[in-house]
Amino acid sequence: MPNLSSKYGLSCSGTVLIMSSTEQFSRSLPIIHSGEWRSRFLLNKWIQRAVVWGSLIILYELSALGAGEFFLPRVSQILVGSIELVQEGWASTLVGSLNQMLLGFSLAIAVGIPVGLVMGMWRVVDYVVGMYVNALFVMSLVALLPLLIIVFGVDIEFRISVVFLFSVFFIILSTADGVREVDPRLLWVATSFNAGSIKCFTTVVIPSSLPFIIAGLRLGLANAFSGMILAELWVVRDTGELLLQLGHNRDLPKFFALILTVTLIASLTAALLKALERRLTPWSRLG
Amino acid sequence: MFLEVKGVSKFFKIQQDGGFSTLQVIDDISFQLEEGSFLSIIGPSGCGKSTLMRLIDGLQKSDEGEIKIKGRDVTGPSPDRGMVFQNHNLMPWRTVIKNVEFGLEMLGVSKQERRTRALSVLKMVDLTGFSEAYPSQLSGGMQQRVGLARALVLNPKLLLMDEPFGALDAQTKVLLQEQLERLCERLQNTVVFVTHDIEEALYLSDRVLVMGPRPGKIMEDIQIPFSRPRESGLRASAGFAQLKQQIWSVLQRYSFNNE
Repeated sequence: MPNLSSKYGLSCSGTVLIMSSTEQFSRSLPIIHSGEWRSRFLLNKWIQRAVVWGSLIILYELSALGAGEFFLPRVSQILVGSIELVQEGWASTLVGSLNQMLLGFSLAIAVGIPVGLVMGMWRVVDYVVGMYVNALFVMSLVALLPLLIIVFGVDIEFRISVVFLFSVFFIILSTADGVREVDPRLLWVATSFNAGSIKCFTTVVIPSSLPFIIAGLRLGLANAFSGMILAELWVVRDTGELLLQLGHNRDLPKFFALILTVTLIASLTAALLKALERRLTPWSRLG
Repeated sequence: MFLEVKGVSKFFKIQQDGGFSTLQVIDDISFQLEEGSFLSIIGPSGCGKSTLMRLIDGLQKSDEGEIKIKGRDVTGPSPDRGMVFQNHNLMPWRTVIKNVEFGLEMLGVSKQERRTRALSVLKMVDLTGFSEAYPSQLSGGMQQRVGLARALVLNPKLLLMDEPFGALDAQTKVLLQEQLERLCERLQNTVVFVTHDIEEALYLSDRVLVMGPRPGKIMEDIQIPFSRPRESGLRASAGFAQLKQQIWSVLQRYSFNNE
């Protein structure tokens, strides 16, 4: 029999070449070929942001001028207000608030992730605990504040518990969802390659649900900030107290400056979590 | 005898109308396999081929009968056996090389040795330049080759392949079959290969078992006479076509019986 494979040029290395050249770039992203600097300039996200933010600031400044400073402070006044806030030593107040918030949020992480993992893994736990978690998740937690004051008083315990309750359910539910999404076939694979149940958990369940856990943390963190301000407004402490004071005194420049600062810090921490996600789950952005 | 399957049956419990009923997926399967040979199991979908593979791999236990490898009962997964899964089933969070290293990692092999062994197996399946890529960045054929490398890196005495090329396009499939044939020729390990593609089974195997519809039984045990290494022209030969027709008529007969 003649050597058919060499006749058709399908030698071993030939096959390799054919496969690599057709397969190698099949999943790579399309490249934008228009090298024009104009389109690059317009597509730059920072330039887009500068344009949008700049227009919003100008729009705000115009409406502030129209409404008068009794209703809306001007941008320059807000800047002065923020400098005054720092000079009056209010920065430490904000730091104090954030510390307590972080304490409550850490507690929510420490409870939320394990509870979510257990809920996702064992249906029995989901039947028993899931009902309460879901009920509290959909319920307006603000309605519980009077009860929490009765239980915890008006000190740090109260504020921590509010932040905890505001964020923990997002973490629990998202983590549990992540565990339920684990591909059972990958657990077969791990078992087939001699992984015991602990190894299956650490090499399949955890990495597979990691994107969900981080998503839960981001949602939880955003709510932790709301919880922080809300609790402080209720017991009139720290940042909440300051907001109330500034509102009553109609010190709008400082009031706006404070709100902007809190928003900025919340956005930065959210961005930090986003960066953490990108670092920990590089595969999730592919394909 | 290398692999002995004796009177194996498997039942599944299924929930039906509020109660449980049992469904027999495999019915009294027996066969023996010599070391170094390539066996294909072919049959209609749902006939219990994949279940039989999981039983041989030790992922599930049979309800009746016994499975022995070199005289020893199969009680659970073992590094002696390497499984290549349907739809590659790679871990998307691991790079190609980390996926290949997985089995070694579970056995506690040192990091250095894992890397060297994984790299040499990746070279075997022509994926040298892709060790740091993630599975989702590869094409279907390449993903399946990673799946093969993941099993081969353990130097398994028995390689179990569960419809590994089922989801691939026709051209890639043929190329991979040829590559697998050469690899097996070189490594000389025993292979059990599940497929529903008659041509694939004929091209690769020394022997083909034809299973009937559920509950799966062995209907026919066919020796494949073609010499190795196999040429790609083999597919066009008269003997090939004749055997293909023979297997098809068996499959056809039992499928119609059940409909």
